[in-house]
Amino acid sequence: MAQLTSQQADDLANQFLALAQAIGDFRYNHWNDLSRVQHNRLASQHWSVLNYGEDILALSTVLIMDDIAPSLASIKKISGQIKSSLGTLKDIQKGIDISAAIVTFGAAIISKSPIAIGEAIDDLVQRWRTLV
Amino acid sequence: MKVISLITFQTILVGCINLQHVHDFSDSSLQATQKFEEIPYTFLQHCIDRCEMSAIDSFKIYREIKCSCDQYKRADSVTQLVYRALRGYFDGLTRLSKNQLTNYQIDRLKKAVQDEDLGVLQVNKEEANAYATLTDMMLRGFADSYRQKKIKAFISGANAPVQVLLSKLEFIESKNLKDLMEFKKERLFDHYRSLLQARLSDYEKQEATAHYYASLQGITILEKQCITYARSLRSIARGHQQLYENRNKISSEELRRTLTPYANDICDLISEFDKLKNR
Repeated sequence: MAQLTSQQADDLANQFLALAQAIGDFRYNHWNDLSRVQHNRLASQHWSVLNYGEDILALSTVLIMDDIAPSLASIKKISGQIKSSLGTLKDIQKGIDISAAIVTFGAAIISKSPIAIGEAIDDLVQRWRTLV
Repeated sequence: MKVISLITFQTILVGCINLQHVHDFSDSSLQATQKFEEIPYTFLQHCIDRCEMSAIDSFKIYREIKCSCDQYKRADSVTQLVYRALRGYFDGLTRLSKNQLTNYQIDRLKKAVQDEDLGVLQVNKEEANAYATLTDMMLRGFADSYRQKKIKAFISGANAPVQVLLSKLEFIESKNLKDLMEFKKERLFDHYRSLLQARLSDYEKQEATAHYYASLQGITILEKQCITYARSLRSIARGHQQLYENRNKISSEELRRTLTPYANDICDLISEFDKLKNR
């Protein structure tokens, strides 16, 4: 048997709704002619047909999964690549900050100031850590 | 000096890549897609509602109501998967197309080369400013052309799957979820129509009728929310298709003019959705 598509399932669900409405209208239009047992049976059938239609709509949504698996995989891959590109662009700023820290460190060595050297090393280490 | 001027001029040209219209469209698309989270109705919620309605209709009281909703939970999972994939893509595209992304802060570097303790390496303030401006432009030029190239490639690769996912989410919202509400309306109609056949006072009948119309109104608003959301997905799809077809002239004025109506349309639908939500 060929597999039902999500669109076919949706159409089918609407047929069930129309059927259920017909059962409900029949019961209402013959309200005084029906016995209690007949009323109960028709009411139960009315709601059962509604249940089938609703279940088919849920199934129609689940069936979509068959159509979208390759698209989901492609989009996930592309979203990952976008994140990686964003990372590359943000790393440029980190590179600039590292360069500044290296220059400051070089200047501190030239100045031969132990305090300045210590501070420059701390700054350089800290900025390096943000990169790795 | 002429060489530096020429380099600077070329760099300015490269650095002027403006992706603001791509960012605006993508940002509107992201915001509209995220309205999914504000629709207070799911397949599972429908299943629980129908289960409770059935118990109410037959006067059945349970300590704990048990509803068989596995298929409905699966339907929600599929819908969530589609939604999250689209949100992830538009989130990335929005951030990547933001012009500020490549506004690098080079003040620290400028200050470092100007430092008085730099000795023989020290440069004066004027030279430092000139180098900093040049560095800034070259960096921006490199980063912007990288960004433009990447965005073009991403849009190119993403268009087909984005169109499929947008159309499926639109189908779920405008057909499946909306049709479920038609079923809910029928169940409600049958419940109240039967109830009014019972021996009730006129006051009780009026109360029941008022309850019916209040419930109907609630469902109608939900239906409109789903339809408005689906319309916004359709606009996003059309806008993305335009973006794809014009990907080779991504920073052009022509594309900006083409995309603006889509971004505006999406914003209008967001506002329409919000109005429905607050009713």
